[in-house]
Amino acid sequence: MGSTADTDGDARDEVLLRAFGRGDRGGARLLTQRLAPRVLSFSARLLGGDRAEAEDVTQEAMLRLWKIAPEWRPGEARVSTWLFRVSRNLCLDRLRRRRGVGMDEIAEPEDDAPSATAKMMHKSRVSALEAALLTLPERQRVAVVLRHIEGASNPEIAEVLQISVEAVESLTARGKRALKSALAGRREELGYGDE
Amino acid sequence: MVTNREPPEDFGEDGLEAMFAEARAEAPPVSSALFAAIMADAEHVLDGRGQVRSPGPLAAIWQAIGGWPALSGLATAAAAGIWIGVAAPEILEAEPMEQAETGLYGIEDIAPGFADVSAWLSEEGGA
Repeated sequence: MGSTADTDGDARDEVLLRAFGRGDRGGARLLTQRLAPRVLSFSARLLGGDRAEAEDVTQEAMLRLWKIAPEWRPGEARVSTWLFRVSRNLCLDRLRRRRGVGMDEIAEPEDDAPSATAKMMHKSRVSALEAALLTLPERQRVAVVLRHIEGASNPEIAEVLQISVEAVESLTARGKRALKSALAGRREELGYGDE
Repeated sequence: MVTNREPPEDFGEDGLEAMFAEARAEAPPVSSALFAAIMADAEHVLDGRGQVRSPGPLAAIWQAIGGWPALSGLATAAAAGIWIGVAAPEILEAEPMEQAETGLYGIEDIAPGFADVSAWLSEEGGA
């Protein structure tokens, strides 16, 4: 799952960001390669799989990172958790604006490739998980996505949500229970019936 | 009225873990367009570094008075002041200035609004 605290990676991110803050363009390229995929993935989960909105959020979060680079204080926060925190706020803004959009409007998997059954089942499962995640309270959703999909450690999640590690453990446990409840009765439909 | 309805089947820890694993495998890639947009933003921020980096006290004063454009305006005004002071203070008298208008440049080219001042001076002198 890769939930280890990526200490070397965190230190490297900070070195790259400070280099960018001094005008090193190469720092921006490496940071983008390393962090943009994580931010994009995280944002897409929080936004119910909306790829276009997740890309907007990713670009905006990275822009804010570039702007803050010259004032970045070493050791104060991890670059990755800072980005997750900014992305979370940007996603929250978008979800608030989107309020009123029902679950029916969340993209369903396309039904035009009957031969690719396995692929369809995979898409169905991912869509079902994204839809179920959207039913969770926002903090539970952030904690579950970061812990179980993005592979963040509990201390990292605590930094993102600015709560204690114990509170993170409680949030993720409640989040998983709520997910099981949201998915209850769909085990067979999603192809887990005989496992 | 719903009676004797069976509770929904528990989704189970294994099912949930399997779904998490599938979601991890589904991580969307960063498109080349998004990558290019992020890098363009980085370039833009570096190019506009003066607005990004917080200015020091001297830099703040420098920016408050308008920076280099203000300094060039100030230098031009100072040079013009020295020229007026050293070369010909009598040029400010109305009559020679009227004569100067027979040249290539009219006084209004150099000092827009001078005609109004000149007229006022004439009236004051005549009064």
